Parts: sequence; C-alpha cells; structure tokens
Amino acid sequence: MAQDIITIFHGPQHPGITGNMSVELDLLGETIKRAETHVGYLHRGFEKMIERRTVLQAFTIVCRICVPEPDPNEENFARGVEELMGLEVPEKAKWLRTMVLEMARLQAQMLWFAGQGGSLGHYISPQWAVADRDLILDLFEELTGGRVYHMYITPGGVRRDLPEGFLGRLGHFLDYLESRLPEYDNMLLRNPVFLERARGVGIIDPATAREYGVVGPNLRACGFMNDIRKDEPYEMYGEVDFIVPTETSGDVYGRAMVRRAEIEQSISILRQIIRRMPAEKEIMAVLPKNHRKWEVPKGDTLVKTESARGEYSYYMVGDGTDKLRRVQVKGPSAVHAITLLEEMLVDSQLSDVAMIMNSLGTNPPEIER
Amino acid sequence: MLFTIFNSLLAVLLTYSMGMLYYGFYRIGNARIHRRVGPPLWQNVIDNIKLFAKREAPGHGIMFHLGPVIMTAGTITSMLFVPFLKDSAWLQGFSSYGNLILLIYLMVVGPLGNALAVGVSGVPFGVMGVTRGLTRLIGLEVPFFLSVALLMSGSGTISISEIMMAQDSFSNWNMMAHPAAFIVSLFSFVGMMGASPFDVVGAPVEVYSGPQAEFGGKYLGFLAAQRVMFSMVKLILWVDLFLGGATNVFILMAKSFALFFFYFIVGAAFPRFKTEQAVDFMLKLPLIIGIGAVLVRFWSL
Amino acid sequence: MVSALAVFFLGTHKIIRELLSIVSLALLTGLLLMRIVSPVSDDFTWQYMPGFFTLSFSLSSFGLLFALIAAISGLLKSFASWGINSKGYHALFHLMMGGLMILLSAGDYISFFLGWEIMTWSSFMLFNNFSSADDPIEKSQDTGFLFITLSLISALLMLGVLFFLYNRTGSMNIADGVAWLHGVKGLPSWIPGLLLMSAFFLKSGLLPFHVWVPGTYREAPHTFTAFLSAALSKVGIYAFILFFLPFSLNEGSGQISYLIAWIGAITATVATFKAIEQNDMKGLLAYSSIGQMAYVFTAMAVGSSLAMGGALFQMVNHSLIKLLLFFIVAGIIERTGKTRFDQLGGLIYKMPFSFIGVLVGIIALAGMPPLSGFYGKWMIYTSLIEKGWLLVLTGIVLPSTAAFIYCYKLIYGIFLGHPTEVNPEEAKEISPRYRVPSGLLMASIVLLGLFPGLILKPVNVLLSDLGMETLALTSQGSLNAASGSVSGFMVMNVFGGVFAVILILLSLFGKKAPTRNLHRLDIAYAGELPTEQTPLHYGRGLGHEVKRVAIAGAIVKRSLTEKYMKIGNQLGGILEHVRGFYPGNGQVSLIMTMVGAAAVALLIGLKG
Repeated sequence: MAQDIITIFHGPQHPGITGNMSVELDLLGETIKRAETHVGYLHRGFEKMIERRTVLQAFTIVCRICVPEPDPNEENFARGVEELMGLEVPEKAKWLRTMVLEMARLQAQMLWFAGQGGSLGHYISPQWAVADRDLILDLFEELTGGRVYHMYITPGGVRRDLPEGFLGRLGHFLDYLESRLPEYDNMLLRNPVFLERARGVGIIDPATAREYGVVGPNLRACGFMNDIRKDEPYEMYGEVDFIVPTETSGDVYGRAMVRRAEIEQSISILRQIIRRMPAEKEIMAVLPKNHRKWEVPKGDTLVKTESARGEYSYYMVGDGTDKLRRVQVKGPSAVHAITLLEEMLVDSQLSDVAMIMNSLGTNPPEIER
Repeated sequence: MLFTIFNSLLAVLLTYSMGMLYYGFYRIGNARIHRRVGPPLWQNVIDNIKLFAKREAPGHGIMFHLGPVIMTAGTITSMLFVPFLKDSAWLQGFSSYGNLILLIYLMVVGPLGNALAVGVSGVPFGVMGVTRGLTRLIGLEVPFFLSVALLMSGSGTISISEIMMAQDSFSNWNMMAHPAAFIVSLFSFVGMMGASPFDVVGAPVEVYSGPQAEFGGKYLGFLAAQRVMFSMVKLILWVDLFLGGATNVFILMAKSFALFFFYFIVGAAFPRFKTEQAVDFMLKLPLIIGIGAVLVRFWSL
Repeated sequence: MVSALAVFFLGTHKIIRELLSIVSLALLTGLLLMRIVSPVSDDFTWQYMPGFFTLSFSLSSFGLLFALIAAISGLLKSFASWGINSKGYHALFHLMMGGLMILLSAGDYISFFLGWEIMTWSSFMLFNNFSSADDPIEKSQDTGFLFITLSLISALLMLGVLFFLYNRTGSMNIADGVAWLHGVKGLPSWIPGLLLMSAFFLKSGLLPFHVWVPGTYREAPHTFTAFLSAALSKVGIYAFILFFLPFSLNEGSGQISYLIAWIGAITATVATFKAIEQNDMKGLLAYSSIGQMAYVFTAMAVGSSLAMGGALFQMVNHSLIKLLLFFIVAGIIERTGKTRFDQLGGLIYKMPFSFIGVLVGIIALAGMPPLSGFYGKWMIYTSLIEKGWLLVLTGIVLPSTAAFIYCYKLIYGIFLGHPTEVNPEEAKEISPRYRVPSGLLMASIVLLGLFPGLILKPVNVLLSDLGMETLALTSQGSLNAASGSVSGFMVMNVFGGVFAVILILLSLFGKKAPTRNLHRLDIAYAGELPTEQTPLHYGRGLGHEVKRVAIAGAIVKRSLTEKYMKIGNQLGGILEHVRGFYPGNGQVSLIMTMVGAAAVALLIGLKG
C-alpha cells in the first residue's frame, strides 16, 4: 500500500513520555493525524488488591497508585474509611494532613516543572527543580520516615507527631524556595524561547474542557475557577486563606502560569499552617478495639481531594466485613492522558508532544490503578 | 608529501584531544550550572573508549556501515582544508588547494553521507532528524554565507589563509573590522555547533535522538569522535576568519576556548526552538543585520 | 549537417528505425565533433524568392556547444528508449531535432523562428500524444493547454519583436538586430528587449513562466523528459546568449542585469521549495530543473568571464545530471510501475547500480564537492562575491541549501527506508539499455569532478569568441579565479584517502567488534515493536514540514498554475461566444488563431 502516513511510537521507552505509557502517532511529515494512547505497561490491579486485603493492609498500598504525588491517595482512603466507620479525627491530625498534602503538592509542582523544562531540552530546570524537590523529600523523610511513599495519613489520623523543630525547618525551606522562584521564572518561564514555543500550543478551549471533564490546573487555565479545596473544603482548607489562580488562554503557557502561581499559594498555605499548628499531642482518633481487624460497616461514600493535577476521587463501598467490598479510584490522568490528549494531539507537531503531555501533568500509574 | 601526511595526523590528534578537553569542560561546566558536581574532565574519552570496546555493533547492511565512515572522512577532509596557524608551515593540511566556499560545502558532505546510513537503517525517527537537520541548514547557511561573503568581498579573497593573514593587528581582526558580519556569523555558529536553541535535530525528547538513534558500538564511537573534532574545526575556522588567526597552538587554544565558552553559555541557557521556529528566527534577526551591513557597505563606498 | 537532417526523415520510415535513429544521431554527433577538430566553415545561404528573403545558416561556437549537448542527449536518449516507441514518435522526435538544429544554426529571423516553432510543436505533439501519465486524456489537457498557450504567447512576443527589429534595421540578419538592440539606449531598446527576454525565459521555465514545466515533464514519455530537461531547456539560454549576452557586459544596463540576477534567484527559490513538496519523482526533478536553469541565468547576468564560465559549466553539468537521473528514474518506473515516493522505498540492496547512479546524480546536483556539480556553483558564487552582489548571493544560497532536502528525498524515497508497494524480493535492477548510458554519464560526472579543466578548455574558447577574458587554467584538475582557486583533483584525492584510511580502521575494529546485521524491523522504536504492516516509510512525509518555515510556506501555498488556469478559464468563457465563427475542428481554429495573431503582430511590427 502507498504510505503517506507513518506510524511511530512515542514511548514507552522515550525521554519525552511522562511515565509508563506510550502514544501511538500517525504522522504526515511531522504533523500528527491520529494519536492513540496505550496504557497497560504498569497494570498492577490496585482496586482488586485493595478488595482482597484488610483495611490496614490496604492502607499500605494505596500510596503506590500515584508515584509523583502519593498523599492524595492516602488522604482519600483515610477519609473514606473514616466516613464509613464514623471515626472522629483530632484537629491536630487534620492540620498535619493539610500540611502534608500541601508539601506533596509543592513537590509535585516541582516535578512538573522539571518535566516541562526537560521536554523542551532545557536541562537546567530538571536539575534545579529536582534538587529543590529533594529538600522537601528530606522534610518528608524526617516527618514520616519515607521519602516518596509516606504511609503517613492513616485512617483515623496521622501516624506520627511532628519532630522537634520541624516547623522551623519547614519555614526555612519555604523562605529558600521563595527566594528561588524568581530564578525559576527567569530561567524558564520568561525565557523567550519558551514563550515562543508554549504560547498558542496545546490549547484546550473552555467548551471542550467542560465536555471532557478536564479538572485541576488544566481546567483553571481555561478560565474556570474550580478547586475542591474551595468548593468542598476538607481537612483544614476551610480555615486557611488562599486564592485559586486562573488563566484564560488554555495553552501550555497558561497551564504553566497556573502551576507557577499555585506554588506561591502552597507556600502561603504552609506558612499559615506553621503559624496555626496546634500544640496538643492528640493525633489519632479513638480506634476500633481490635486493631488487627477493622470492620467497615455497610454503606458507600465518595471522597474527593484536590491533587496537584486536579480532582482525585475514591468511591468506597463497605459490606460489614474487615475488607472493603469495592474501591474505585479515579485520578485526573484518565481524562487528561487518554481522551483529551488523543484529541489535542491531532494536527499538532511531533516536537510538541512531550511538551503538551507534560503541561497536562499526566501520570500513567494512576490510570492503571 | 610525508610532511603533509604527518601534519594531517597531527591535526587529527590535536583536534581530538582539544575537543575531548573542551567537551570535558563542557560537561563539568554544565553540571555546575545545574548545581551538580559533574563527571571528571576525561569522561568523554572514557565514553569514547567504551563505545569502541563494545563486543558487537548492530548494523543494517553495507550502506549503514559506510555512513559513519563518510561522516568521519567528511570531518577530517574539512579539517585538512582549514589552516590552523598563520605564518607557519605546520598544521596547514591541504588548505592551499581549497578555499572558504569549498570548505562550507565540504562540511555538509559528512552529514549527508551519514544521512544515507540513517535512511537505510529504516528508523523513522532518524529520517525525521535528518529532515530537520537539512531544514535547519537553510536557516544556518544563509546568514553565515552573508557574513562570510562580507568578509570575502571586503578582503578581496576567498582563501582562508589570506583572510587570516590580513588580520595583522587587533584592530584589524575581522570581529573589529566587520562587527556586523561577526555578530551575524555568531548566530550561525551557535546553530552549527548544535547548541540550544537550535538543537532540535538530535533532540532526545522531540525526536528520540534523531539521526543517532540506530547507531551503537563502534559506529557511535566514530560518530562521537568526529563530533568533537568537527566542533573544533568550526571553532578554528571562526578563529581564522574573525579572531585574527593564531601563530601558535596555545594562542589557537585560547581563542577557540573563548568562542567555545560563548557557545557553552548560550547552549546552557535556552530551551529548543522547533525546526521552523529556528529557521524563521535565523531568517529574521541575523539576516536583517546582515542585509543592513551589506547596504551600509555599498552605500558608503 | 543538412544531410544529417535528411537522414532523420528517411530513417523514420524504415522498419529498423531504432537502429537508424541511433545511427543518425551518432552521425550528427560525429559531424558536430568533426567541427571541433577541423573548424571548416559550412555556412550556407539559401535564396528563397530571390531578392526577398535569404535564409542563412551558420553554426557559431556557442551553437556548436548547444548542438553537441542536444545531439549527445538525443543519442543517449535513443539508446535508453530502445524498442519502446512507435513510429510516429520517432518521426516527431527527429523532426524536433531537426528544428533544434535549424534554430541553433539560424543566422536570420525566419530560420530562427521556423526552428523555434518546429521544435515547440513537435515537442508538444510528443508529450501530448505519447504521454506517460496514468490517464493521458484526463491529465494532459491542462498541461497541454498551458504549454500551448504559453508557447503561443512566447512565439507571438518573439514574432512581434523580430518584425519590429526588421522594421528598424531593414535586415533579416540576427546579428544586425542584436547590434541595433545594443546600439540604442533607453526605452526603445528596453521594451523589445524585455519582451524578447520573456519569450526566452518562458522556454527555460523562469519565473513567472515556469508553470508549464512540471506538468510537461511529468507527463512526457520518461526518456523524452530527460531530453526535455537536458537539451530543450537550454534553448532559452542559447537564445538569451545570442541576443542579450553583450547586454550584461554593457555598462549602461546594470539595472537590467541585476533584475535578471534576482529573477534567477527568486525562480530558484520558488522552484526548490516546490520541488521539496513534490511526491513523485519526475515532478521533483522537473522543479529541480527549473531551479538549476535559474542559476545559469543569474550567472549570465553577472557577466564576468568567471560567471559566464560558471554558467556554461553549470549548464553542461546540469545536462549530464538530469540525463542520468531521468534515465534511472525511467528505468525504475519501467521495472516497478511506481512513480511516487510513497509507493517505493527499500530498494537499495536490490538495485545497487541505480542507487549509486542516483547518489552520484544528487551529489552533483546539490553541488557538493568532490563531484562536478560543485565547480559550477563555486564559479557562480565566486563571481558574485567578486562583483559585490552579496544579496543576490544570499538569494541563491537559500535555494541551493534547500536543494539538499529534495536531493535527499529523491534517494531516500526510492532506495532507503522501508519497502511499501514494491516487494523488494521481486524487484530487479533497471534494464541494461538504461544502465549503459547511465554508466557513461556517471563516469563523465566523476571525471569532470576530477578534471574540471576538461570543460573549462572549451569554455575558454567560447569566452574568447565572445570577446571576454579567458579563465586561467593552471592544470586540468583545478579552477582559478582572481580571489582564489580550488583544486578538484586534490579534494577528491584527500577525501578518498581519508575515506580509505577510516574504512580500514573500521575494518580493523570489525575483527574485534563484528557488526551484527539486523532485520529491517529490528530498529529503535521507543521500546515498541513494529510489524510488517506498520507503515514506516517516510518518503511522502520527508520535506512535508518545510512549508512551516514562513518563507517556504508563502511559496508553497501559492500556485501560479492555478491563477493562470483561472484566467484561462475566464478567457475561455469569453471565447465560447467567439467560437461560432470557427468550424468545429479545434486544431484548425488554433492554427487560424495563430495565423491571425501573426498577422496582427506583423502589422504592429511594421507600424512600429
């Protein structure tokens, strides 16, 4: 047959892909005529694994669902179990959870920044951003014992209290990070080449965004103010002041600016948390008598968290045994990396694929839960 | 004849060791900008030796085999048509038999020969990289030709040696005598050295390393070795044309390192342009400066 | 010479016409070569209606060069098309050769015009009636319409100007007219000059009259396309030299020369970007021909002896390259039945000879050392620098750099990449009747790369005939100019030597680190596995994105052909009403139109 179109794979072994997935591209020249996302390189069957484990066993694996930002999983799982079992979480635990979630958001944004720079061949940004992210991971390690997977937000509260002087060190880190932000701006976000490449590329128009169910920074870059932290406040988000940054352009640059503004908001939220962290010692709810065998009563619940990539929800069903009957995990990437991406890539250029994927903040593991 | 052959070998050795040294610095410097420690200075030599020491190399027939050979031969041939030093019998190669226009064309022979090997390997990424490279070449050659044409018509000769000889004092260096031509040529220089923002050809992210995608083992070893030598040839060419040439190897190294440093800084600071953006950019700002310089030259005459 | 012409006509009616065709062309070539060896004058005049018109024929040294190009091209072409053409084809081809010879040896307007028209009409018949297009009737109509309209315009322009000149000088002799053209300053000489020039540009396919070239080349019989490109496109140059060359030497006509130089540069740019966009082999080569011809005009506009030498070198070289490439392409089309880059691919190891042929062709076409294409380019560039036309230089560097893309596309689309419609197991090397002339051409291209002096010596003779300084020739293998020199012999040797040394080195490594040849699908593919069905051949896509570059996009998106066709259609609408006057037969009405137009032109000429 005559071949005016060629088929290539972008991923799975490709520096321009955001993890364990691939995009099959049909190209005429370098213009994409059809894109098809392939996932399944990392399928581990988390939902089934959770159904076969007791609640406490399951708690240890939920964070593995999403590598760059595991904490919303823990938060969702813990909150769902608490709602089903009727556990009352102490206030300090809620503050600590909020802090951990914001720290997680901060490090996830740094990781996005690394990817965004790397996808354009700007190798300073990955190095700087990952190095600075490591400082957050150091703090995580001190607080939870784990760098990437923390297993900190347990059903009923949090696993550990703050170490001595932790808030002071967190404050120092925030000052340091804030002083670095102008350098990040000058380096990438105000770089003329970045502006040339990112403006007007990968545009999501508002109607498409609504139709496809786009969430998070991607939606906010289209001009919608939409944030679970504001719309349905959980933990202590109702208590802290922050704004939800939006942009109207809907392109790669708009999404970058939204994420950049969110870094500042996270810093501000963390500062408020440092100021208002209660001194009490209570960090755990009154737990069921039999610690080894929690029985989840009959009932179902839907819990949502705003992750760095958008709305992250768990639908959980209890059936009166020590195992959950059904858990459905719905991360934002399923929409962003499959339906939306396949649509967006048509008629764009091969050179822009990695940049667009990174700007969407896609993360394949959470598609294959 | 024996002297010429000895000189040619010397030139190859000199550019190889210079290149490995400079690119060692490049990696350390980049690491420092990245806030890393970086590899040792001789890491590139280690990498090169490792590639040659591989037990086997994947191939795709005889044309694939010849590609890296043509590439390296093209590089070394171009090298031999660049005079390294002025007022010296050493390191002249065959430059008396050629000139600048010949050299500009010779510099394309290698990459095109390699493009045949890329094509025969059947990697679509490689061919895309080659196409990008050839498209980018439009953007690089046009301003470059304009700037060297200014030099050539200014000094009334197309011979590199004579252009170099004419720059006897600092104020007569072509970067001083023809500042506009020098500035225009620097844009092309950054592109020809393959630095960001003009490095979309072999970009690992945008096109899966492009032309190099299918080469491994000894082939990649040859390609890596010729790459550093080719960079040195370009540096020396710019030293000859604009920085007044050099009377001995140490001055040559000092001057070429200054240029290399410029390339390194620009390359570290920018992300990549897409191919068409790169060409459009080159055909805008540098070309306008160049055309302006030509107009000024011929109106003032 | 005339005897040679007679042989054509006889030969066409015999059964063994192929043999006769070749023999007659060989005879012609031989005769022309004899002219070089023994420069006897065989000028003759023929009194037609004594006292009124005199047809005079004489072959100048320039005419001889062009005649030689044409004769050798024709000879090789006849060899390549052995046994595939019908009787009418031969008759027409030889008629055209005859017309060409008349044109080249014409000494007066009548014979010049006569030769011009015989050549034009017979070539029109050739490509129209013996088209190689898939659906000849459907496809050829537009092309034929364009060709014939533009040819008519060109003929009318020429006729008008020639009558004007006759009226002014009272002599039918071309030399007198040329003298008049150069003698008169100002507007009166400009207007006829420009009109005449347009007619010649049209023949060589310069902007904005290039529109007939691609379609014609695409649809002409494959080997005839080679001849079209190699010989017929040069006629415009011959006529240009005949009428205008002293123009560019003339001090007063600097602006016109500069204009012509830019027309050449712009034509080359447009043609090159269009060529990159083409998806079929002959279309690509057609646009490439336009571009290469444009360089020749730019060089002639410069007017120095170096530039003129460059122009002639480039022209001869272009004939060799295009014959070679068109022959091989014709051979490939004959073997595979495919014409487009998205239908071919992966044939390198099955057609090694064709691959090497195309490789030699594109290296020379791209103007890369160490093959012959480089020297033409080198002389043109150097002359532009010496002249100080740096912006024009930039204008032709752009297309000659962009030409790398279509050169690579040509070789990649056919030989590299992956097989598509042609199963490489079944593919065979092109037939020997293409291989023999291609081999000769390849040898001559390589030889000229080693010894450019082989062409430069005759070029020097021509230059001195023109009254220009000759080029300095120190040895066969080198080229000299005031501002520098280049030794082709040395370049070739150095490159060859280095190549050999590295090949030996690689082979030494090869003992310790052998190459493991992989299956064609065993490639870097981002971790996935392509299958036999996966489309991987980039022949169509290659160069597709060049139009995203602003300047290329502006060129590729606009189509002059469409605009002309639009004007043509509107005119056609008007002419529908007029059509009632003519008896149904289209050809009769065409001829009548032409006669009428000629009469009008005659009137204008006599009045003016």
